[in-house]
Amino acid sequence: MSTQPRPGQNARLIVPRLVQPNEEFAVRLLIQHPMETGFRRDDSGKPIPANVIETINMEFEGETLFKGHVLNALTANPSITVMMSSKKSGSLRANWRDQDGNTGSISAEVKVVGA
Amino acid sequence: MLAHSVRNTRVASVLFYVLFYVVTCPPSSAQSPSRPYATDQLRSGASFMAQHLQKQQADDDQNPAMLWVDSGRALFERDCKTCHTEARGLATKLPRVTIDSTTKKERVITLESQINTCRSTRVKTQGANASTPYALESEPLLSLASYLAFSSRGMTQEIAANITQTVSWQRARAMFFAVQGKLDFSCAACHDKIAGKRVRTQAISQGHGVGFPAYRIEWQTVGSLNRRLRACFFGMEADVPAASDPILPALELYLAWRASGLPIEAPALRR
Repeated sequence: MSTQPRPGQNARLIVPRLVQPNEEFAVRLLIQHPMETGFRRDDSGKPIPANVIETINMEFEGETLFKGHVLNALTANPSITVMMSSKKSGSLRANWRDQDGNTGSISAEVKVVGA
Repeated sequence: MLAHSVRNTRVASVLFYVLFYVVTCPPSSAQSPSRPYATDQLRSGASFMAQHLQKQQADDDQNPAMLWVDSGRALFERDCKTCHTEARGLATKLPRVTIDSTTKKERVITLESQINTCRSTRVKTQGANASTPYALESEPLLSLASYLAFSSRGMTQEIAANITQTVSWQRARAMFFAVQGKLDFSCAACHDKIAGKRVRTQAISQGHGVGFPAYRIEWQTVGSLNRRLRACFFGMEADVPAASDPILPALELYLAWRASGLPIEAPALRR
């Protein structure tokens, strides 16, 4: 199917609209990825090559928030929730790479009241 | 004594078949056919799921199907905006019945087939696969279908009043009531008669298609109602029709008629 886009291009990074300084909140990352295990076969019986996400990194204003070498540990279309808090507003960035070398990234702004 | 008991079994078996027929046969279509559930008794598939899944479906930030909605929105903005200014309500017009202009035969148009018709007749995209219809269950097709269904969330499907007079509806109804497969099931035997009870650990739903295209956990991806229906035949251990079989769109139409009054909740989360 030539119309299938490359995996891992589509994602959502979800943060609350507004948080209090030092308030703990959840950051949710959702990535569209089939996470092929290599154990499945297509309709003609050929094995589908394995391709899962290898690394996921999340950082807030240059500071590492989450760093994971995940491989088979996640389901298809993985969702990762990380708790964080901050005194100041800033931008949150996530990027990931799968075994085929497809990379993706997404960013979101965290707004802290009065900062 | 022996003859007596033989006669008794014969009487019993005749009685059994009469009862069986009464229980399983579809109501005669000569009268105006009635829906199995009154509008206030309709319950979507979500209400038969576990609490945590219901919560996950209700929260768009946790529903993985929203990823498909996102890419579908981008495709809609790129390809469909020239004709359709508003996406809301487009999905409520489907499925519907049309008469093919060349063969003079009835055809059921589903959301997916309408997208492909639009694509091959109106959409002018550049590149290698310009104006070619999307493959069934391909990601762009599911994305667009998810976005359109999502845009019509909360609305009900428009079903023509004379739909029960169409050949497609009647074929689909016969299929719905037909006992088939190794397990001697019919769709109606479970979804009309004993919804809410369990088959092993699974709660039997009323069998409405309003959540589709849906993210099915078993598939780990979004799939169309067409794929779900094929999975139904597989589950009944009956002959699974090909994806292009016209009975599947007809069944989609029948399900839409059966569920009329139930709001669209796609893209839903399903087991």
